[in-house]
Amino acid sequence: MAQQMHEIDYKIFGDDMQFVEIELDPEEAVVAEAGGMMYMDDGVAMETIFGDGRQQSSGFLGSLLGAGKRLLTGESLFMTVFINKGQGKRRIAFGAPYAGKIIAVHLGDVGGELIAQKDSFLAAAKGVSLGIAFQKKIGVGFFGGEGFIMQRLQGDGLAFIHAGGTMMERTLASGEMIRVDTGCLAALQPSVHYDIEFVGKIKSALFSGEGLFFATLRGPGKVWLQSLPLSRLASRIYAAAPQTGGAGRESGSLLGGLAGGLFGSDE
Amino acid sequence: MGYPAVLHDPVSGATRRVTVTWDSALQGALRVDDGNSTPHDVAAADLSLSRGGWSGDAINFSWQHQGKMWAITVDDQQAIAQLAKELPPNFSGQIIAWQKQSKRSEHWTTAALSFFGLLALLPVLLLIVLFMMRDRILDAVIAKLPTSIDAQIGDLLHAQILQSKELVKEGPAVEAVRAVGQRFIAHLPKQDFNFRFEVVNDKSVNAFAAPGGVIVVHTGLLAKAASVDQLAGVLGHEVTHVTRRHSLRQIVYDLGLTTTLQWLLGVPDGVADTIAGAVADLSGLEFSREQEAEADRGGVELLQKAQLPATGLKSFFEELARDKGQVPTFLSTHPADAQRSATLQRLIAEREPWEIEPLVIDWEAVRRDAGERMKKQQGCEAEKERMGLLPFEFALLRSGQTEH
Repeated sequence: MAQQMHEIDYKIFGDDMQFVEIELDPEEAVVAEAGGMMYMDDGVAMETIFGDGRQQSSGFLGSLLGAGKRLLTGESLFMTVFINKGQGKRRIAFGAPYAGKIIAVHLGDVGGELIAQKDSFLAAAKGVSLGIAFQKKIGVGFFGGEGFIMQRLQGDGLAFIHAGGTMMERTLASGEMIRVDTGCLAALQPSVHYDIEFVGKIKSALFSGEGLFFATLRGPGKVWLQSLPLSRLASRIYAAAPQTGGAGRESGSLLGGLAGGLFGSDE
Repeated sequence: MGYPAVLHDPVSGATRRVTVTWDSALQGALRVDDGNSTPHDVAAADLSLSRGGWSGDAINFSWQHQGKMWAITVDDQQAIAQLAKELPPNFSGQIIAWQKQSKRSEHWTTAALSFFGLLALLPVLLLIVLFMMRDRILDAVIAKLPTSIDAQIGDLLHAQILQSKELVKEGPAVEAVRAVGQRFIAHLPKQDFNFRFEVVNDKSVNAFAAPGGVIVVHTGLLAKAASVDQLAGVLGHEVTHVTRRHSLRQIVYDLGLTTTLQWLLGVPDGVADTIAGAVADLSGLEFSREQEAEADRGGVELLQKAQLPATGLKSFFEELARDKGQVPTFLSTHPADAQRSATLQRLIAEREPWEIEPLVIDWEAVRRDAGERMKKQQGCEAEKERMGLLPFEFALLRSGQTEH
């Protein structure tokens, strides 16, 4: 299991719209989702690879398979490797695609494996592999909020994942269980038992606004929860958009809104 | 022999890879080895087993140690199966029950996903089935459509040809074409179609059939044909296109294909556009290879009924195929040359000999007529170019001249 992992130093900037700046020693490399790069120092070379970052030696068929799997998780077919080809330390930064937090997970500290929601991968030390994790439980697949396919990160290095709103990391003891809104799961250790549970009452199912099911997470292991799933944010934005009958413009006060409603907007 | 597992360390909060073994001595104990420190044994009595794993197919052992809850997770399926054999029955019974449950759940997932996958593929499958059954569907549809539709489309096209092309109104050429045409019509079983045989002054070697009985022969073809029998062969072929309603079939097929595609693949564009497009394409309709073969077959039958020699069709076709340089447009979708020739030969041989009642037509006069008209047209075009006139100006000038 002696994989060549690149040790990297990093710093996360920003509050709610974050980016992570990674410092690379000469010949160190990071793999990133194509299109996530924010800036890089002179001397950092970029290389686009087909599939994920690990199979440099597994041949064409292997990389094709890796790329196909990546399509399933909703990622692009290609990834980008950034290598420091210069002398001395060089920096490179990756920005989060929407409001939320970036967390750095040392895969070695979580048993070498992490399951994350689709699209949450931002960047990782070269040597971390990205794959799919297939949900075998039909109920969880349909109602768990993450679908049948999640992203599997394997390796011992550092990985940066991103999720919406504020991230909460929680370590569940063996047998300890929490109920989570189905959209709020961002990542979990594979040892955590992930299931669904009916909200309990028909009345709650219909009117509580929590949906029909909760996700239940049972330890042992770590889970990462996001306070604002992108879909929730998107539905609010969509509802507020003028085309869909939303307010359309900012109404500072009740009167402003009323006037707008009475007299229409000037647009 | 150890099994791979991860250890959840409540002291550091980290999760480490370890190997576990089951020691069946005494009451049994789980030996946890992290590779660095001395292996740690947990007695069976202290262990509690639970189902775990994000997908529900892992097992957890947990135990209390110095007031903290420790746990290991085994998610390797082979390791779990092996452990189930070694563990005491209270544990292994549970593991086997979970495994069964997992397997059942997995089967359901596979079934459900296959179902939805199939559902997603259904339009494509349906399309394939429809495509494979297209001949039978088309036959049924065409049988349902009255011949008045052919007639309407034919009238439309006829009017269009009258307007846009230089029609030959009199002379040996058009008389010959009509005489041969008449011979066929007299032998057709019933008169569903209003046949109109026209000659268009155009130097390309071509002849075509529009629905409803409009058959057009270019002067180029008349000049090229060596005998009236060759013309008869071509006309027999074209008449069959009309009687078998090949054009309508193509139209229905095109329409059906586009609408089916739109309907199944959810292209939101209106059907009206499709119809408009198809009607616009009418004049440029091409027949399929099967239809051409059918027209050849029908042509030979017609020639027999009309008591005309079939050699013309074959020889004319072969002559044209020999001049590969200028493959006539009406042959472009026709069956492969050699194959078609052989098929024709066979068709004729099957029926021959039949009584021949020759056509009495001065073919040299027809060719001369066609040739002169083409020459005149060419002259006009040269004149047009020389005068630098726009086509419609020239037309005006010429119509003025003919009125005098």
